[in-house]
Parts: sequence; structure tokens; C-alpha cells
Amino acid sequence: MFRAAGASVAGPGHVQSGQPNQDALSLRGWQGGWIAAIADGLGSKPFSSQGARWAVQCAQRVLRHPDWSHASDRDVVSAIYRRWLSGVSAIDPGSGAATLLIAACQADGRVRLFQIGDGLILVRTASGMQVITPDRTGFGNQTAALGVTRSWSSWTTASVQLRQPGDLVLLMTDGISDDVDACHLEDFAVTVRRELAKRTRRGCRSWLRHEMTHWATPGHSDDKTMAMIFKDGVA
Amino acid sequence: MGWASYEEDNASRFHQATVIRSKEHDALLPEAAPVTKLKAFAAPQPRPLPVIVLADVSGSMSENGKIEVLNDALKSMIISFAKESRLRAEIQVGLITFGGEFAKEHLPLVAANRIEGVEAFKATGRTPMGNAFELARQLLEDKEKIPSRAYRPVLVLVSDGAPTDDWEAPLAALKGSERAQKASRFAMAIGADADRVMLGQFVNDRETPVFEADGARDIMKFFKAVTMSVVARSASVSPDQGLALDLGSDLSDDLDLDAL
Repeated sequence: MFRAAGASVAGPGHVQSGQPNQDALSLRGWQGGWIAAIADGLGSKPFSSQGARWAVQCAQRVLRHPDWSHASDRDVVSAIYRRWLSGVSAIDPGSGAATLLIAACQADGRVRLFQIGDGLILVRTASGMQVITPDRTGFGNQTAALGVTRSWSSWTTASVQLRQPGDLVLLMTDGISDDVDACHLEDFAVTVRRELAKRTRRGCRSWLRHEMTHWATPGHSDDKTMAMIFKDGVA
Repeated sequence: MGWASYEEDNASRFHQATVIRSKEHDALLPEAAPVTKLKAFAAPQPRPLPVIVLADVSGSMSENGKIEVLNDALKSMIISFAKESRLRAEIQVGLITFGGEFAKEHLPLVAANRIEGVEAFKATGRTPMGNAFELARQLLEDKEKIPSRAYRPVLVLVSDGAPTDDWEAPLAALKGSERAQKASRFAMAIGADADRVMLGQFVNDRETPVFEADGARDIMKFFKAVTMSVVARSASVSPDQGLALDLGSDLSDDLDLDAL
């Protein structure tokens, strides 16, 4: 059986200035599995919070539709992007730009992963940890995003299989992933999973919110969002 | 009441008073950080915001006290960075000088509040600016020195002359590098002999063309603008958003009332 948990909190920068959380999260059950989508609206864009919310909804609607369950990655990405563009047609798409990270996990443990822009997707299975997100070439907050680029090459896609208890997929926006050293990522994911495994879904959300609200990096200001899908049982 | 009881009573009163005082003081103490399980994984330092200055220290900078003013301006900039406490980023400063035969790293990239002093520049020799571009590119491409979590770096070029080495290829490499090209680049031309065409090719901020400095006051003004821009960025909600240098206003704080 698979479990999932996620939460999103506004960063101190936005809390202080009275702005809304520009990250978005959608986590819903799907045919015995889960679809998790998180998005990070680009802080410099005026409608980024709306763009991010619309992005996670588009991801859910497309991936839940039976027509898309066996479509190629490129077709799925195109469908999500088209739907997102139609939703932001009233504004300049660039003004609602957002990154998007998706994990669609079926009941048998097959997971499809999609990402455009920064943030991090990592997978941990019995064979070890795998970071799906490619190395960033630029600096913090310089990123590809929906509304910024329409190229297929800006997307990263992958398929993995979760089999054993303890196997997991973790999605994070850059408010978290940029502050976790690469060499600690696996321990980080294992710790998050261990804490989530002993809580109810509501307890998980509450714990994640607490951890992200009181994030320990000095001067951190970004909004923060995390979602995890993991196989239940003793690892 | 015996002496012992009297002492006991005093101690008791003192203790009570102490307890009350402690509670009163508790409200004044800073709130303790909540315990979090993920604290061990969070980076212990704020995101860095690197500021790299490429400074011309060729022989011509010794004329008219230019090098002394440059030394003072950089010192003031570093002190201002170090004193700033409202930051959401750690401002780091690196100095690359070019004078003589080669450019050199005068100060490695380090947090401004950890810089105890900078050796004053001495102006001498030729102007190996191309070599400085090469060092800057190497630094910007080094993910150990400037991690990916860093905010967009700022590159500041200061020169009063023309390069004496091959500068076109290193500048093209700097502008063509996938990572290094993403830094914000500003430039200041000091005096009439500065190569403005070359400096114009260096800058990449449309709102901030090459700054023209005619004297000591302008050099100080330029670095003051760089300081204000960087501090404003690092204290803002979104430190990665570029801020153009505010070089337009030349009004000093003096109301200039002597003419009345």
C-alpha cells in the first residue's frame, strides 16, 4: 500500500510583505495510487501564485484522464502545457510563470515523473537513491518554467518502480532543495519518510508545515513545498 | 523570631523575588528556536550573493590619486556590506586586480563580515584585462566556490585605460559561458583614456550603461551605488531580482544653502 503526504508554506519573505504563497501543491489519490504535483511561481512575476495553482490542477486533470495514462511523456507534457496556457489566456503567460514537478504513482508502484524548472525530484529504492533532476547550470532562481519556455528539452521525465517498503519519491521546491546539501539528500529523504510513516495524513501535513515554517537556514525567505509518496511497511 | 528564622525569611523573600524577576525577564528574552527534526539538514549559512570586482591597477592608475580613491571606495563598500544586518543573503566579496604582466586574485571570494582588512592596491605596469576576464570566468564556473544556490553574482569592472593583452577571446568566453554569462556585469570608465567601446561590450544591464567617472568623487559615487544596489537586493524579499544601479541623482545630503 502506498501512502502520501505533502504541505506548502509561505516563506518569511512573503509573510513579511503580506504576499500570498507562490508555491502550490495538489496531492490526490488515483486508482489505488497517488498523483502529487507541486509548483513554484516565479517570484518576479505578478500572477505567479495563480499560475502555480493552475499548473498543479492541470497536472492532476490530465494525468487522471484515462486517455493519457498510456500516452508518451512528450504527449502528456504537451497536454498539460496546453491546458495551462488555456487557463492563463486572460493574462500574459509569462506573468504567471511557474515551475512544475509531478509524480504519478499507480497502485502497482509504477511512477511517472515530470519536471520543468528548478526544485528537486529524488527517488529512493532498494537499489539506492537517484536524483531525477539534472544539475542546475545557473544560479539560484534562474530557471525554466511554464510561461518562460515552450521547449520539450526543458522538461525532465523518468519512470521508476517502487517495490519495497521504504521506497519513496520526494518532490521539493527550491525553497527546500537549495538548502539541503547533495550529500545529505538520502538521509534527508529517509528522515522525512520515517517521520511521516508514524503519523496520520493530517499529522503528516502538520509536521511538514512545522518543519518548513521553522526551517533552520539563516535568512531563508522562499516559499517551501514538499510532497512524498512512499510504500508503507517496515523498511 | 530567632536569627535563623529571620535569615530563612530573607532567603525565601529573595528567592520569590528572583523567581518573579526571572519570569519578567523571560518575556524580554528572544524566542527560542522551535525544535525541528530536519534542522540538521538545512544549510547553516544564508545563500551567498557574490560581488566580484575587477580592478585596474596598471601604472596609469597612480596618476591624480586614482588608486588611492579606488582603495578607499572598496574599503567603504566592504565595511558597508559587513555592517548590514537585515540580510537574506550572505554578501561575499572577491577582488581580482590586473596590473603588470598578469591578473591576480587579490582577495578570494569571502563573506564581507569576515574580511578583516584588504591590502591596498599598488598601481604598476601594463593592463592585462583579458587575463582578468579569464580569472573571473573560472571563478564563476567553479561550483565549489559559487554554489548553485547562490544568488546571481555581480561583476564590477573598473578601468582607466585600454587592455594591453588579448582581451577579445577571454571576454567572448566569459559572455559565452553557460554559467558565467548569467552574472550581472557593470563597468566604470575612469578618465578620458578608458576604452569605452570595450567596456560597453562588457556590461549586460540595459538600464545601466558604462558609468563615466571624471574624478575621485565619481569613483566613490559609483561604488556607493553598487553598495546600495547589492544591499537592497540582499535585504529584499526576492534577492535574485536584479536592481539597476541608481547613478542618476547627484544630490548630496548638503542642502547647499550658502548661495542664499
